[in-house]
Amino acid sequence: MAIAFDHDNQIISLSSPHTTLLLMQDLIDAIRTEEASEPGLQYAKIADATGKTDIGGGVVSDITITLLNNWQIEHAPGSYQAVLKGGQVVGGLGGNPIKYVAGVQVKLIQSVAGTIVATGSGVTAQDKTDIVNGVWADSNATTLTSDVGFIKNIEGGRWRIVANQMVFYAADNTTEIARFDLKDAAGSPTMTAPYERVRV
Amino acid sequence: MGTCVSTLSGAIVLMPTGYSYPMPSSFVAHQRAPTDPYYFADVDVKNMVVGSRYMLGYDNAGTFTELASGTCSQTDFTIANVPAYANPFLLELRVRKSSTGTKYIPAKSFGYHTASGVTLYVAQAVDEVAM
Repeated sequence: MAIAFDHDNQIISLSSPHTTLLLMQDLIDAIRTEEASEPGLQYAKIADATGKTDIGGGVVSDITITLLNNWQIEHAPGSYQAVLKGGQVVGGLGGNPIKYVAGVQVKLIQSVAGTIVATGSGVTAQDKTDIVNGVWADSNATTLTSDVGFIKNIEGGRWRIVANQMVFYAADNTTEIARFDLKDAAGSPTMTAPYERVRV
Repeated sequence: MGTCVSTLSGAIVLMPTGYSYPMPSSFVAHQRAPTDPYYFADVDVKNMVVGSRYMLGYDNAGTFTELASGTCSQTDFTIANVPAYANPFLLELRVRKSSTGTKYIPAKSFGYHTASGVTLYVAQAVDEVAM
């Protein structure tokens, strides 16, 4: 049996195929089945579980399993790394849900805002459209668009020096987009020896 | 089948059916041992999800001790002739359902057993996590 229960010692033993990878979904399924079994009924509940709240787009919050009393998970002896995924497991003997087994390194990821994606990315085409529209509607995106347009016009439009000023036009060569006063080294208006420009 | 009659000394005398008091010069046929039940009575169970497995028991010095168990085939049913080993006698009904279909979070119901029986109401919540 891949997930076995020792009620007297309050140990959940893992063996293949759960030796190196244990999903929280598989764990809570096995716990509930054990609790409802004939021998399991004679003992108190093994664990509480929360999570799987639908947050839309086929994505649900991850599972948190709280092992009650002194229950712990024990991996099979060996020299390997084991991973627990799909949520987190807490509780257990002294607040440690994993029993130490020499040679086994258990990678337990405990987060406060994990999610479970049902299939693929879980993001629908409409979600993508909404996200894109939301990004472009942001004030930062609006400013960026305006600034890039200004640069393109400066680089691609008409430049003209007239009446001690430099005038920049848009790419249509007609629409004025910026005007600068030209000054010489002494700060006086000039059209022939500019050292400085000041936007007006 | 006899009728239990308490004597002045506290012993229980089993009398032939039809007698309601000890007859003069009668003898003690049976005396209640400390481990014998105080009485037997029915336990009515209400509102259990069909298909749930249940176990009725009590706390015996820190250990859950089974009195009856089974799988319910209807929401309301009666567990007949449940013994009482104390007075009052606190019963614990454990209810779990993890078979195919909707699963439920393990539930408990408590009630004091009396000579006239007791009714235990069960409130099971759907388990949204287990599959």
